[in-house]
Amino acid sequence: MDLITTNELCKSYSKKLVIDHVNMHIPESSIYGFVGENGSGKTTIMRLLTGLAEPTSGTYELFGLKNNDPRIYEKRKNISAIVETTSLVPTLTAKQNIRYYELYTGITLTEADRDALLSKVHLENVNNKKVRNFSLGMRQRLGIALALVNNPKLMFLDEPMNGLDPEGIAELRDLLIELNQKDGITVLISSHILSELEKIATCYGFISHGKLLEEITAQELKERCRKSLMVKVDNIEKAEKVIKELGSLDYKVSPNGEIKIYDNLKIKDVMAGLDAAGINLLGINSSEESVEEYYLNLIKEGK
Amino acid sequence: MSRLLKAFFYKISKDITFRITLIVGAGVAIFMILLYFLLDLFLDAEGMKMLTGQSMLVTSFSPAQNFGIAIPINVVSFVILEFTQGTIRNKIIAGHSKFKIYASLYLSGLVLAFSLLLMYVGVCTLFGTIIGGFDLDVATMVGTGMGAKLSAEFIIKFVVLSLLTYTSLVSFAVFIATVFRSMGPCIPLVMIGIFGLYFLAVILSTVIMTTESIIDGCNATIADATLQLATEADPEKTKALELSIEMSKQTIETTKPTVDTLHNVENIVKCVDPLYAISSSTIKDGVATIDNYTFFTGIGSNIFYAAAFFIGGACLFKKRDVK
Repeated sequence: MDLITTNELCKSYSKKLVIDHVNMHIPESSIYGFVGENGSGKTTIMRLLTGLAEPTSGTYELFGLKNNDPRIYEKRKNISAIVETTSLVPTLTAKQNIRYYELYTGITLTEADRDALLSKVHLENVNNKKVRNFSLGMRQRLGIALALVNNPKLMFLDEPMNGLDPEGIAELRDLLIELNQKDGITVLISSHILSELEKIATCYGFISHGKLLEEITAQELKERCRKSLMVKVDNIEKAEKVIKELGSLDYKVSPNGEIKIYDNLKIKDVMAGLDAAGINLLGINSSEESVEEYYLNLIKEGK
Repeated sequence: MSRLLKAFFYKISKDITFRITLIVGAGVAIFMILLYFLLDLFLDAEGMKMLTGQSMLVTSFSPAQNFGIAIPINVVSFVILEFTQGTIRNKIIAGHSKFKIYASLYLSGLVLAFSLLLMYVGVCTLFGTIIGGFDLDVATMVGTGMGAKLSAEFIIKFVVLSLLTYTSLVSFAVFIATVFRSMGPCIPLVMIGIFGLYFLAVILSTVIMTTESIIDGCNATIADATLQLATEADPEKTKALELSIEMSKQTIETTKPTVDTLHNVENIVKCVDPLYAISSSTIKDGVATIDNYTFFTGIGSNIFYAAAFFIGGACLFKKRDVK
């Protein structure tokens, strides 16, 4: 079941379409990695889904309720989000910020709960330090702690790893996996650190210039980012014939004279076959496509 | 809504900025008391006392004088901080409707404004009463700086109108802050708005009072000259008195239409300027008065502005995205 679906969602600013007929499907209990270049529309979509912005056209459904259904306000209580920057009161301490958040969300935590929350994000020793004296990483950690106050069913995290040190990134990753696996929390997360996304995402949405290029599960992506053998030769037509003779049907020829073979052929067999056919081998190497490469290829194809 | 207000009370109780503003307000109040005390000491105006409980009550309420101007600015600053700190964003994400958030901003602004006002007016009136007493028979200073006695009716009407004026000013301040969401244009706009309306009221009422006093002066001259004419035998002096009467009559004749026009303008301004009723002062027989027309138009205009800015602001806030 999808927790979020969007239907031809559009948003324009000053007549410029920044979100272009997006149809997203975020399955329940998934970690949805949202991938796109700067200005691609990731944050705008998050802002639309969190109610911070209104769609120009199109609709979305959240927990099975349409965005214009008044009951959606009640459902939004199960959401938490960090969009763009963490929203904190700098003149208050970490605990006071949590208490302030509790008050307007109508949740009451005990002092022990607050301590546990702060220790979860490694801010147990901040005592009475005002948030204005926090580092960027500490603010980000506190923002994450706030996002956990209401035991959300759905979290929107826009670049949550920004400002975190490698240890913090690893801790956040583990925390999100734990929340997702133990409590079934659905997470929509965007990050430029694709290697980190690869470690946690169960599905992906690739977006570029406001258009959703593709939605894919992590399993499907893994299959598509499979191993390949890249061969560069002086005669492509002859080489193609050789590759077919070797039993490969799944290969791609790129305009720069490279052939990418996806079938599991051995390097020495390919080299021997090409040599026997009198083809000059200019280069050969085996590689595995990363999410980043996959995304870049997707953009190229989209263009 | 109650959750949002609870959160506001918590924030304000922990926020050092609010405490500093209260201390600054108390400091300004004490400075004003000292100033009025010194004015009494050095001016020594006969039959008039600057530092009295009633004068401090009336002057401290003014939104365009002393600490009064700081109150809407504080409201603006409070609302803008909600935007810049991103707490508005969290409230929307947490499932509060934009209308409830805007209404809570307005109510919080009112609480903030009345807390500051209560402190400032309280300190001023308390010390004014302790030092100068609260005697309605003593002429004191009113809004336009003129000496007059203040009746109990005047004080009650003045307090009611002042409270309503702050209600509409808070509505205006929240509206402006929600529209611009940054301090830069908001502070000048609030100041221009308040001072513009205040000076319009002060200048218009002063011009009317001055023009009326010219007519009163001419009438007095006519009465005096007529009395003298009855007993005067000297033909030259009689001629001079007759000339004086004639000139006074001519002055009245030329000034009267101006006064009538000014009164018509005043009646319109009373309806559109929410600050008019508390900024202008009409003194009749040495007693400051707020006539019923001024009182009720003051109530009407303030309720209208408070409602208009609230509805307009809430609609705009609902329509616009939050960053």
